[in-house]
Amino acid sequence: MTPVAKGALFVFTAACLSYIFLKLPAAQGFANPDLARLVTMHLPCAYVALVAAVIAAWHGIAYLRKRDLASDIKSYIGAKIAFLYCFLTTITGSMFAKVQWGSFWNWDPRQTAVAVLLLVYAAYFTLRASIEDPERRAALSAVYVLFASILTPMLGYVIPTFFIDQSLHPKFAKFDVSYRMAIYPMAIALIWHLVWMFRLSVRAEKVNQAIAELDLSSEGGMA
Amino acid sequence: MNLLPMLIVALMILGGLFAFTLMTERRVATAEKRLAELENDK
Repeated sequence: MTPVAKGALFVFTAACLSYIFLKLPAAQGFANPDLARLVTMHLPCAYVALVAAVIAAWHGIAYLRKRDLASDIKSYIGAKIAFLYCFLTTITGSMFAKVQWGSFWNWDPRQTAVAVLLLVYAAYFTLRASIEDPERRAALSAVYVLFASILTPMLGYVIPTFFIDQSLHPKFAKFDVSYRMAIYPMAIALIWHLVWMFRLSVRAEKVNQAIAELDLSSEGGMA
Repeated sequence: MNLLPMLIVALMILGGLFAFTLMTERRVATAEKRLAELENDK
């Protein structure tokens, strides 16, 4: 990303934060109306986790179609970012739960489902770490990441919303305009940041692989 | 207004993301330089 784009992202994120802290009215109807504004961080993190899961699945499918290891790297990075944002969603959600429901963890269906999702992604990283052959690792990972990516909206939204009746989370949260004006721009800022992080991580992974290959070949040459 | 805890959380998350990405950028630049050196040596 160019320095101008980075600067623009920084200014845009700072503007989003300024709006949240200086303009956004307290959320009425919550136990702590001031701190309930945390939802403006919590929801964008969940949206970005979903976007990252779609990116991981997209590149997983691309690998299965073309057998290009570059797609495997992109799919892996997408899954890593999805895991990161699922984790951030859980952290901000736990803080919101403490403010609103009195405890960091309530075994609410949606909280539990996202915890399961974190374990699903953890299993993906374990799977990758356990296979040495790059082609086999890429093929199995691509299939698994499709499964994980389908589970992301299912566990994060569909199952807790449509299949479980008792939940502390509202089934269909409705926000007024002032909150939508905070949530959507923050989601855009985080997705913008995701693009930056994604490209950079793909570059890092490729360079590390190239260095490892060169190191291996030079070791082989010396032997 | 009791906004300090939320401000800390927001700054930790966003600051952490920016700091991590900027650090990764520096690390990648160093690794690319090393890769170029290794290729020259070869």
